[in-house]
Amino acid sequence: MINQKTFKYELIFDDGVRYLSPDIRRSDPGWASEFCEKPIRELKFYLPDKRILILCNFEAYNFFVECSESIFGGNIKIDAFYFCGKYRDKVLMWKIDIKNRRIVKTLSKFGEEYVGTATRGWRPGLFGYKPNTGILVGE
Amino acid sequence: MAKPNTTFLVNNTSNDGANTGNATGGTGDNSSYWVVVDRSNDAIAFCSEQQNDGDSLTGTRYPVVIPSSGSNEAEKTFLMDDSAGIFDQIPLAGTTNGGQDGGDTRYVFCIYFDGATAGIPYLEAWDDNTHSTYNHNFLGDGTPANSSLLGITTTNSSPGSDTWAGTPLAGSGSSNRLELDTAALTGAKNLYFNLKQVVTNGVHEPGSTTDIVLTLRYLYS
Repeated sequence: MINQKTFKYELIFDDGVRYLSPDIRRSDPGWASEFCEKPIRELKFYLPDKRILILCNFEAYNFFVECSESIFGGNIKIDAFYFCGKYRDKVLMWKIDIKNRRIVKTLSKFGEEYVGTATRGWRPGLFGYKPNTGILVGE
Repeated sequence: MAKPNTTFLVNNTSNDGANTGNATGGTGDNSSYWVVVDRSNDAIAFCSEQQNDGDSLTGTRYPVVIPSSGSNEAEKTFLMDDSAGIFDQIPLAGTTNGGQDGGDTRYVFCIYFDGATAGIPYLEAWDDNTHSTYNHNFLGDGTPANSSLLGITTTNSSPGSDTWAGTPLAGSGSSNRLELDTAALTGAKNLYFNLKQVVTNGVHEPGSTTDIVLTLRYLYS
């Protein structure tokens, strides 16, 4: 059976409210357009192999899609999805590399998270907790 | 910050002025004229001085000549305009080492974004649409520093030199692609750059394929 949550992310806010995104392979994955200032407690992403990527207790979160499009010919391609958690001056980032079929976790200085440059779209998380992240076997 | 739409335009005049028509182009500042590129059927061509503005696409194409020693910048740059069926010259492309009106000019090539991005947009060059290799001789045979395609970002200022060196474009290495702005875009914006082809004796080969791909890479959420 196909997991109905595959290629969707889920936000669990501090007050318990949940937000399930549309399929993030679409042109509007919802992170910016469904903006909400409530603090996020946990971010989940449902991988196509039924595993779940989880980030929780970070001070801020970000998500974005990397795409490439040939200026002449060729279609627009999604190359990767990124899920980020900020803690103090560091960013832990998971790159779901669609193009090369791999998942890469990196730690960088805040403001240098994407190939040494800053990204926009950060949303508030929680302060005073120990952040945690990993990939779990799915439900 | 859903995925923004992008439009590629070229200035086909010698007037260095901004694209005020955004996605539709047309007459811009300082009597410039911005042509919207048909990304399915048009192409950019670097040619020798024998090629003339308005030449038919069905006629002879004159490639850049590799010198007997040293390097040679393409004398002319064109949009191969499929719908008009002509080589449409881009006179401000390149530097004063070429044979056009290029140099310390700012408004030559443009990519218009109709919305914000989550990161800095980049311009890259690859062998083909898979964006995985840069082994064409044109791009330096796998050595990006030897790429014959060089570019410079002019979004926020002109190059500052009539003979700007530019960045050799090949792949996605940080020193071999163009950052088209200094930060993620907060809204709709025109991003500008200039391009030139410089062929070098002993590095670039006659008749090597030039069917490479210019690629725009950006983030959205």
